Amino acid sequence: MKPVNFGIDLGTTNSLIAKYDGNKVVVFKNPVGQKETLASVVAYRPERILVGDKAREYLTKDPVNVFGNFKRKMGTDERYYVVNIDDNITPVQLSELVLKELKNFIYTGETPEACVITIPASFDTMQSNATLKAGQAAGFKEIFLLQEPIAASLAFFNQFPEDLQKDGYWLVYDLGGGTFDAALVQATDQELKIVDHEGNNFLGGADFDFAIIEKIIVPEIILRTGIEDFEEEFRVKHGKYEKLYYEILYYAEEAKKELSYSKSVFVEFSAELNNKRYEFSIPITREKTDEIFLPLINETVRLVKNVLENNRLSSKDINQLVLVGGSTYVPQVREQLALQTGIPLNFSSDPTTSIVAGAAWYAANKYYESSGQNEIISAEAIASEILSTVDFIEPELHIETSYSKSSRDKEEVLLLFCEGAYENKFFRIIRADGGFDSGFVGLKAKKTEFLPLLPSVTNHFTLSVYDNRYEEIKSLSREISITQGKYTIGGQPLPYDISLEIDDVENKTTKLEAIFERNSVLPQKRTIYREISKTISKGSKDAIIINILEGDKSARPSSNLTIGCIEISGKDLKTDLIKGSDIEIQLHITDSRVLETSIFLVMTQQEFNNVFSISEKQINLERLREQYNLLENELIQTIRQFQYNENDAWEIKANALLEDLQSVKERLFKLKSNDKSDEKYVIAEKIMRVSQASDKLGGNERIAMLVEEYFEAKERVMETINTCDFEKQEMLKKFQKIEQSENSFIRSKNVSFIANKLKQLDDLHWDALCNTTSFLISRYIMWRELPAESYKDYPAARSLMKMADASLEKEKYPEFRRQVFSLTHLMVTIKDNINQAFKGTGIG
Amino acid sequence: MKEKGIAIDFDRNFKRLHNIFEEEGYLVHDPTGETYSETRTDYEASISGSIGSKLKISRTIKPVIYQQKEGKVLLLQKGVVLVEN
Repeated sequence: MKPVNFGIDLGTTNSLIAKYDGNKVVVFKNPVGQKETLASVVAYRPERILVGDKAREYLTKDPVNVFGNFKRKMGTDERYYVVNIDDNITPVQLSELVLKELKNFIYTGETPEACVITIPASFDTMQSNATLKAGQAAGFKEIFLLQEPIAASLAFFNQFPEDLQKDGYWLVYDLGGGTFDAALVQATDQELKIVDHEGNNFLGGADFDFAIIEKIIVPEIILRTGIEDFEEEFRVKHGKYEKLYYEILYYAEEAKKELSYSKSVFVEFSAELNNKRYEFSIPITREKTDEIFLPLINETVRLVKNVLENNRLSSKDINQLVLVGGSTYVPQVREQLALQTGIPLNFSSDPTTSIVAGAAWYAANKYYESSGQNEIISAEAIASEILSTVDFIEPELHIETSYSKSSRDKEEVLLLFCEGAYENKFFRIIRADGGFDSGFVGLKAKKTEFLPLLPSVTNHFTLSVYDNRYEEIKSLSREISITQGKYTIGGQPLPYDISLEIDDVENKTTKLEAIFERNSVLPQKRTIYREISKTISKGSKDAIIINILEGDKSARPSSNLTIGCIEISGKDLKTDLIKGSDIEIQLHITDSRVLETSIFLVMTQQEFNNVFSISEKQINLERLREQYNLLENELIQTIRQFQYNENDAWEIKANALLEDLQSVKERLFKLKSNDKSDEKYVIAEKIMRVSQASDKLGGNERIAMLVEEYFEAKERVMETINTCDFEKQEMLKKFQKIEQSENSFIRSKNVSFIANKLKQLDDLHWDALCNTTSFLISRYIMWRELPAESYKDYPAARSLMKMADASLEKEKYPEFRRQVFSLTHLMVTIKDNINQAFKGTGIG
Repeated sequence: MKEKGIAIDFDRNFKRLHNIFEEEGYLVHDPTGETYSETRTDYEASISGSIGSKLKISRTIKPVIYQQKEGKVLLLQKGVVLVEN
């Protein structure tokens, strides 16, 4: 004998499935949409059968093919004629489909043979038997029925502490989405029994929403618009306000939920009424809803009191009123129940899942004779089991699929070719993220299905095949993967990185930030947000430069080709542009590589648009001069480095490059900004070529050398940081930041990029040394001996030295460090002229 | 170069938030204008009018939100839409 463990809440509006597992209950989620609830609705659409939320969307629109609320018709001889399949179906068959769909929620791979299904306390024998029949048809060999109020009580009692007094009478108050039930439960010696119950099948949460619409929103609309027949028209089925009705219905439900925890909310929407556009912002207070909900709540209280009176019980005889169902979240429900019944309330159960949880608890103590097939069963075994239940030998079925494995479209077509016994069989395709479900679609010799794709990812689908009883033929299921938006033959990839030049204020230079990376498929669109890195006064000549470049994102900007440049100067501004304010840069590169930019300055609220065709070069002269200076300076440094390392061959090449570069210097600095000739383009081309050649100087050998130097420097810096006496954590953070980008810049094999990182390491090393007392002392002793002309203000330096001497003698090192730092500010240093005048792009 | 004048602040700020979410791997999709499909389970629709002819999503009350995490895509929030002819 095995415990049943599986419990199902087969509800009028929603159904759930749960399993008792060890000492807890797990409620399974729908793989489509990840909700715990499944709408108890079945839709027979022209080509497919839908079960659940999607089916519910058609409920009021296509009543001849879509069925809900069939639980109320269980056990009757009611037949529904389905137009689309030209056949009759019974409530049992519809329940069977819902139960089978719930079985799909079980992600553990188990196929339960037995289960507990809950039924309302009011179900008669015919209705109970009909539920059993639906369960059997859904593939359960053994089914136990459980009354819903008992299930709710079980869930509630099982979470109670052991020593609590449970014996006596309990009232279960179940106010769901559309129905209300009040059940009197008697607990004796660990057993529960329903003594009596009352209910109203047309009273639930939806009525609260309607009350908000009718009593608050509609009168407000009439008041604002003066449309007298609005209410009348609003209620007309398929009337002119139908769309507004659904919209308001959604807002009313949201407002009701929000009022469970706040005192007031605003319902905001806009609508066109009688050709005039209105913006509504309707306040709804808890006080007001309390007033309009009261008649509905009073009806439930009346039914509760009826139960008590019919059984000659008073409020004092009831231990607690157990609240179940989503609508019991409404605060007024709780307040009125406490006030009018005087029974202590208990709302510790989860109103949505308590019935299914109770069913699973009950299932844990029910046993059945297992056929031994419920263990982990292979797909083949399941298939053969299903086949063996069929009366005749199933002819073979072959399914071939054909689809493109990568796509740039929003959807991709899947072709199915079937051979053999495909008649009366169905297929179903579900996307792994839950955003697509084909429903049950009848198999044909040739069948197409459109699969919607999420952009820029690999979309995984599962294709499952079902027999005429909607039982899955597991051996025929397969996975389908389609990649959207990535590189395909048909797609045009970007040949180079496209970057934006931004300021590197710390190093007084500029750097590149990749916007679109190499090999991204066109078209591409991106918006980036940056801060303005310098203040620009209104009317001034100063400017921010949005320079868009094409090339290698890890190279220096001058090695890249400028493909678009926008200059916004003080003259274009409406007000001053303050450093730190935001700039929004939107870039769009089309299939045919036309670059469109839109720039928005948040502070001045100005928008600038520019469309560049990449054939047209845009050059800012001032920025070009700065690039020239930076490159010249860098080349001079490189030559010095080569001289130091005695790399004669490289030195000759570097000198040649410098000479080449300097050949345009005079022309560049004489050029006027309104020059009409193509001179500046020629110079820009030259700078770019020298810059690229400078990156290639020394080839792989130089890169290897730099990398080696980098690792040596890294070791040295770490050692120094370890001996730091001040700001050690800060230093470590900076070190880790450089280390994190290590992989990318070494892999870039770009000389200037690696050299830049090396420089950052050197700067950090210097910082670390300056935070080491022993180093500071040695430097101080050296600086103290410097002649007077080495200081800008020697008397001030002398007095600082006296203070530093005193601190040193008393071993007050933090003070000593401050004084030495102050002293360095008084020293005459040879500043780098180029970097001093650094203007940059103005974008940080 | 053309100055377009004052834009609506709200729209800008909203787009910016949208951008931040996208950088974090969230895919926010507004299906307004798309043809309604009964197989798209990433939104919940209320259908107004008759269902005979082609249905379009005319209004999005809540957008669809997906999250991309470690190469996997998850449906975080189902959209709420209005559908009509």
